[in-house]
Amino acid sequence: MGTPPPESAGTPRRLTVADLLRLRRPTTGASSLHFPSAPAPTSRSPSRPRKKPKHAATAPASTSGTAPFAPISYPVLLSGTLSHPSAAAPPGCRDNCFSFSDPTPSTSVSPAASVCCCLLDFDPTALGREIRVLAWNYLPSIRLHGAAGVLEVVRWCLAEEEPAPAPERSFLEIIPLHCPAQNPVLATRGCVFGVVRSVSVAFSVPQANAEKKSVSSVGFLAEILCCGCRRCKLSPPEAVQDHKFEAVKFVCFVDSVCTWRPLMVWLVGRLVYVSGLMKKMASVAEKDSHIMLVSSSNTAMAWCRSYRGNVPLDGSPEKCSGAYAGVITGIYLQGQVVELDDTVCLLIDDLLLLPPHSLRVGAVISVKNFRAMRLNFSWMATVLLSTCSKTCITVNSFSLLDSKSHVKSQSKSFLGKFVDSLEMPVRFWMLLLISCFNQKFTKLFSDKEIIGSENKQGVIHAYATKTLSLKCQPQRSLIMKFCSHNCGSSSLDSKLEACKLVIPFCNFIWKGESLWISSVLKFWNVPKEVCKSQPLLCKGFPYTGFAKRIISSEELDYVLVGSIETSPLSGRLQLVDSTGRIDVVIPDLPSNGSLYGIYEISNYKLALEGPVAYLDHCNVSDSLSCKAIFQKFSYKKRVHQLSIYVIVCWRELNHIGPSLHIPLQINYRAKSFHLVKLSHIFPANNAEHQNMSGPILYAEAVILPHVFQFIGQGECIEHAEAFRMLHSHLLGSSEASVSKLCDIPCSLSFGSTNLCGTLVFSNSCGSDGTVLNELIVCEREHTSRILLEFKEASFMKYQLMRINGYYLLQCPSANLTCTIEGCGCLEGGKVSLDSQDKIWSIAITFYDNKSTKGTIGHQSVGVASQMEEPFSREVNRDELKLVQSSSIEVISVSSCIDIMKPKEASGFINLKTEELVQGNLISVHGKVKNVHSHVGMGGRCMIGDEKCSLCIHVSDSNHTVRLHGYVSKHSIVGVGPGAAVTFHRVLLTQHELLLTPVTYIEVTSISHPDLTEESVISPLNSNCLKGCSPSTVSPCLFFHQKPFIENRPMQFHCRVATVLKLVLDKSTSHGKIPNVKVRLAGFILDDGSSLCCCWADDARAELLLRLQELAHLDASVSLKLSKGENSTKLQHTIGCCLEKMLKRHTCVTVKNCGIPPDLSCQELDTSSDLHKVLSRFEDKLLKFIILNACWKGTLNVIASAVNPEDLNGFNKELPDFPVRNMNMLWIKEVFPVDPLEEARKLYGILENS
Amino acid sequence: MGPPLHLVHIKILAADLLSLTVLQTSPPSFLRRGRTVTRAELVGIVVSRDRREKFLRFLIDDGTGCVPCVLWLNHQYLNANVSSELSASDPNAEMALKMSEEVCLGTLLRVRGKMVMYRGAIQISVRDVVLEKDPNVEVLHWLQCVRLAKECYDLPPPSAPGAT
Repeated sequence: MGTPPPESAGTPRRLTVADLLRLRRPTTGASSLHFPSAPAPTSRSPSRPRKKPKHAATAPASTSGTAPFAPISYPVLLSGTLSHPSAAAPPGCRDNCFSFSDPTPSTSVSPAASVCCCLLDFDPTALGREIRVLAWNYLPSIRLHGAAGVLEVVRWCLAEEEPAPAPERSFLEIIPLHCPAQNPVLATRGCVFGVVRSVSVAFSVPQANAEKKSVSSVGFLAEILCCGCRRCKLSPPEAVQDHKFEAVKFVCFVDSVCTWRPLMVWLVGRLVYVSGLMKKMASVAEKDSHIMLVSSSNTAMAWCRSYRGNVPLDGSPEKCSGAYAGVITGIYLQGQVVELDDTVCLLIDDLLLLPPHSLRVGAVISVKNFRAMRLNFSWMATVLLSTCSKTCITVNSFSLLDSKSHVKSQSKSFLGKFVDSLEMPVRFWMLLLISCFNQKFTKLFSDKEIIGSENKQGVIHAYATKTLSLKCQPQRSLIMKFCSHNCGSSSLDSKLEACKLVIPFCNFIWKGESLWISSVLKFWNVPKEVCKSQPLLCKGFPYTGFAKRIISSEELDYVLVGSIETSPLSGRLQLVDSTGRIDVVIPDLPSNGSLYGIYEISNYKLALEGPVAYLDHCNVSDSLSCKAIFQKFSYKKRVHQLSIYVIVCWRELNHIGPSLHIPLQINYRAKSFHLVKLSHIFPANNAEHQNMSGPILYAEAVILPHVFQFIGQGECIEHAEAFRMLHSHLLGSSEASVSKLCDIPCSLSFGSTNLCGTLVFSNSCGSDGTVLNELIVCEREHTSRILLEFKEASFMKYQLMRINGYYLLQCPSANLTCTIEGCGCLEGGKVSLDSQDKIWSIAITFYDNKSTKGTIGHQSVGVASQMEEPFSREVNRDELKLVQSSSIEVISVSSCIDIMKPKEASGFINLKTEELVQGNLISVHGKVKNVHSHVGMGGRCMIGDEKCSLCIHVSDSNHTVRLHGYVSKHSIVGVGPGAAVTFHRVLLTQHELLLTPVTYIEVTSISHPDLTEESVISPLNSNCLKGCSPSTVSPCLFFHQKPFIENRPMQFHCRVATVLKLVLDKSTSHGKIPNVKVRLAGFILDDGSSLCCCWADDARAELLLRLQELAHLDASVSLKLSKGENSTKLQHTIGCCLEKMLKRHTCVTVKNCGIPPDLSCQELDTSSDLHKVLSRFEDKLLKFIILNACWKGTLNVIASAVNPEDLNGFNKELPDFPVRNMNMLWIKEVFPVDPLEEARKLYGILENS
Repeated sequence: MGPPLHLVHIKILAADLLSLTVLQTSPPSFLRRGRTVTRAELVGIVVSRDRREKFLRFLIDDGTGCVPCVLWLNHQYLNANVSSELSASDPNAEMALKMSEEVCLGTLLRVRGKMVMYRGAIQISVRDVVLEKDPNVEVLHWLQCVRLAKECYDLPPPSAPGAT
């Protein structure tokens, strides 16, 4: 129902409490409104105010949310009577609010409408009188407490003007509470005069023995610092002088007076005189009792307006004194944690301490009597104000930002009781823990499983009990707590060590990114080193290489808690919670492992891997602050191409959550099994999953011609006594081989089970072929490859697959014959694995026998069930072993180079052409030197950045190869510098290795060099730098002559002006791309100050000549130089074209007879070692090379003086002018310019000069 | 004492270039603080582009001024005496054509070339243009201009001691 329209524009419309109660949305009103412009009648049209409440009424949920306050657009005047709350009001109102009600008409029988009321600038004189509310906010009925709404009075005045204060106004002002009896009985003559120090929460007051039967009444305690002088005891004091407020007295306000608490809270710190009190003995425990003053029906109170004293603080912190005022910046966990000024956390977790209704974000509150402590958690430090039974919270300014009222739930779960029993800092941690668990698992598991029920522990409770090894402790009575106040000991710091953060994964990923950003920023901002920003060079192009950082959990202080799943997108294991997912690598994942439920991981390694690109200052807000943890952290990706993953040992996975027992058994009765060898694992390809019922992952296996049968009485494989392995006729060889039956004893290890059995031959391939040989022969010859299809339920098994591993596959056809021709497995060539128990990893050991030739003892095939210790560092201290590598069919980088070399070189293959790239699929193993994105050189990112063109430099001890192609960002997790990696099914073409969509990348181990200079300096450069440490190289200008005087390397920032001389040779080193060696090159370099003649060879010269860069050569040149290619727009590197030329001439010398620095290549003097005449096109190519070298931006060059005599007379034929007179430099290094970095450096130099 | 500057491409800002002293010799010579300069290097943004058959005219704006530049594309006319096949495949001509394709409106270029006079104004006869992808090169160029001016160009010339 709406508010009636105003009667007239000028006078405020009168509003009653009954009108307020009809409002359905947060509303603000004022008795006078100032309109900046002329009053606009349209804005005050009757329809508008009516519409708004209607709309709110249809959506009542908004009243408890953060619906904004709707202002009433015309002046309204609210008047009513202010009084104490009624004793029947809900505890939250009775403890904090006054009551505001319509004046009761004498004729009316029904009680007047009333609302809870909070006032700013409260004055006790207003109690019981009619006041006019001039500015107010109204929050309608708060859903959770069911009472009428809350009126927040911002400005008010008394309805009847008070008579001017009489000069003889008394020292003490009587607070109009109710009329005390004129002749008090003797027992109620007790009185106190003093300063109120604290007021307790309201509680049920225990009754004396005599009144045991009666219902316990509600009351509260007030601690008053009294004056002990005799005068005070006899008569009401006249003045404040001569009084010393030192003696502590406790006054208990019970029964009808318990509604005085809001007044008493306001009186904290003020001087009061309370009379009409009874002395009573209050029993607080079995043994203990206190004498205290108890209110009676005659109790009256007066206060001293003029007193301006300070409440003496109680010294020790556990006595809970002190005051703090601040703005509420956050309210979490239903109001249990209130953040003030973004820095301080106020903990209101005492169930009896009910905060005022006006505790909302944006309000200014003051807190009195709390215990302040600094919490030093390992991941965060904060200041905590912990409330207790003495704490008073008052609102100094109301908030219009937020209309959400936080009301604590009253129900007490098992977990809640546990939290209450904890001492302070741990209790706060426990709240953090509850918040984290709630965020992490609300969507994944039921509340009952996580929080628990009234008498059953949930995961949080179990986890906390385990971590803290604490049990519930009995609570002390409130009177005891208040009177002999002691809020805890100081020996709690030690317990905080166990309190680690169970971090939500989005916060964790954010933190990981922040760590990466800060290390990259640190790396780029370290001054001095000249060469630190050198990018990785690949084919002459500079790229940003990858680097890796591995951080141990000991440095992080977080515990990871989550469930483990296989991602259908990437096929990788992931730690999952509701907020995010992180890739996880479990090196020693047992073959029969099951991963259901919630795991806790406290010992792990966090790996960060990505390009060391310069990052601008990103948002590095703290993901571990109280705010970020209590509130759901909003994560936004800041760093692209960064892989974050966690490496954890199987034994470090600690199952803490609800479990679903999956029996790890194979029912083998009446079933047979095939022996399969895994030949390939297909990477997850999300594009394939479209139009399918669910995600599917694939692997390829070869069925070996053996059928397994288990012999035994039991039902499952663990109970089997023996097995038989029958060799079948799968080979399909037409020759009628002699059936030789022979039994070979062998043993099978399967998980923890070891079985002895026999291998029965029914068809032997060779007369004396060994079993092992035969296995290999078989798999090469027959074609029974099958596709293993992993459905979601068996994703775990996909994780356990290892290429070249042997597996038992349950045969779906239950065919007991020893042939598998008619077996269902082969139909369609696909086996669907929809549950966990269809495929098992095994290892077979053949004992020494007559048929194993040349072996002694026993030999093992298949995957050993025992893994090497994953984190053992015996072999290499800086390596983490991830999987056991298999050696079969995987070739090394050097052998790969050998295969590539003999083939006829025919230029680089252009990936853009429609032609099919041809080659063999091979598996290569090597160590990753570096990785870089190929974007910009023809490569690009595909669909949603899921696939990216990458180039991976892989090496062994001798050679390096480059693999490139499009890879999903998921498959390169772990493929960083230093990782030992096997690439399965890469395409070997004549010159390069290509990653294909089926390429499976298996990371065997990763090294963990931290972000070091080496990881970004290309190997080429680091070799060159051996002679000159970068720190000793200083930037210089050519005209300075310094290098010639000081004879040490200097750095120049220059461009090629022209090329003087070139001596080109066919390279003799194998595998070099291109196969060209620059024996010597003479350049004229220009740095803007002077020209300089510089000499270089090899890689430096190649860089200056841009031999490794793609060049769009003129069609005629390209055609002549690349026979057999019919495309005229082929992209070649210049080096490639030179390579062909040098095949013909072996060695070519070029002399430029032009006069520098003019760009002249008209007068080239070329000669070939074989005295062959260079063709016109070859001549043109050389001219092109010279021109192209000049057409290049600025480069950095490190060079030192060289004696012209050392140049073998090459300098003799140089043009006289101007070169002869020039000093000569020998180039030691060439690297690209980082303009930003150099500009910063130069700015520094200019500023200091 | 500064080195001779007539052989190098001096790094210069447009405003400084356009305010060089021009001696009306034949060909005209340019003086910077009394020292002869002939070649310049500028970094700036292409703000105007006029492609003709024999040349490309463009304006480079580096924030201090606009410098007119001309890139000659008339190599085949210059090599008229050579056979048509040869001249068509002159690498200089090819390079010039490729460079002209790099000169697009709004791109950041590094331009080197000789200073010439055309209709009473200084312009650059372009030797090469390099497309700059990193905008920071502009700042670096400014700083280098300042540094070279302080340490090299504006030092008293060998022939005229005391000149300012």
